[in-house]
Amino acid sequence: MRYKLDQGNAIIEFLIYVLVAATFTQIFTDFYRVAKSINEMHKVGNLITSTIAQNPKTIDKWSSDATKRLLWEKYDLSKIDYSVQCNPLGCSNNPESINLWISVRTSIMGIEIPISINKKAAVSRYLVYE
Amino acid sequence: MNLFQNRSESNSTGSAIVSFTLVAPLVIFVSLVLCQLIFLLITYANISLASERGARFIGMGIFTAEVISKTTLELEKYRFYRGEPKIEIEKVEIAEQKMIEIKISIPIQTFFGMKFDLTSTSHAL
Repeated sequence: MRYKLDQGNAIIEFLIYVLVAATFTQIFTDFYRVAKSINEMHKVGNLITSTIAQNPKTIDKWSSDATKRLLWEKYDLSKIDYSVQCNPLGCSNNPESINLWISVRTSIMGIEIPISINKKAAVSRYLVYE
Repeated sequence: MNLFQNRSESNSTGSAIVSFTLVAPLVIFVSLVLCQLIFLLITYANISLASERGARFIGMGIFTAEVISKTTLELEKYRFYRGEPKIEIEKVEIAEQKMIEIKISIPIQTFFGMKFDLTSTSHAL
């Protein structure tokens, strides 16, 4: 009887260890994916702000769904969303003129976590002084 | 009395060995996963930086062949995997804006035999 109890305890103990190992593996993998997503998000943000700074007329094109889908494929980001606008009076060489809000939904252990960043830029002054 | 004590000690030693035999593979597995992810993250950071630098070189007007050689040198810094990195440079149009795309991919084979390509893309205006 006692031998059977010990055996049962050992099996439960082993299953707990397996569960802990699986959880740690999942957490490490998720953190790797989150780190990758954040880096790609910064790259997309820099691309959008620098392009608008060079050519402010393209601002509407960047907000279209087709462009978002294209960036999603190229940068391997899932569920990317962003909004870009010029404040307060259109795109200018004001340091905070171009305002980009970009967000990516990632998940850690199946829990969805939205990560967002805000990037500000100005229109290149060479364009203004032209 | 002494006989019983010896038997109990040998029993506990035996169960400790069995526990260790069961748990050791799990610990090794988790450690390998952790090492693998660290290597992957360093490789990814390396190719990401290399692609961004490549895009900057293109933006500066440097010739494609020179961009490829400079980017290859960057990639040699932290090389944990045997596969040859592939650098592709092409013209693309995003949001009606003509750009040059630089895409670096490295074939990866993990400790567990999984094969996939780790890629990073950057754009230059």
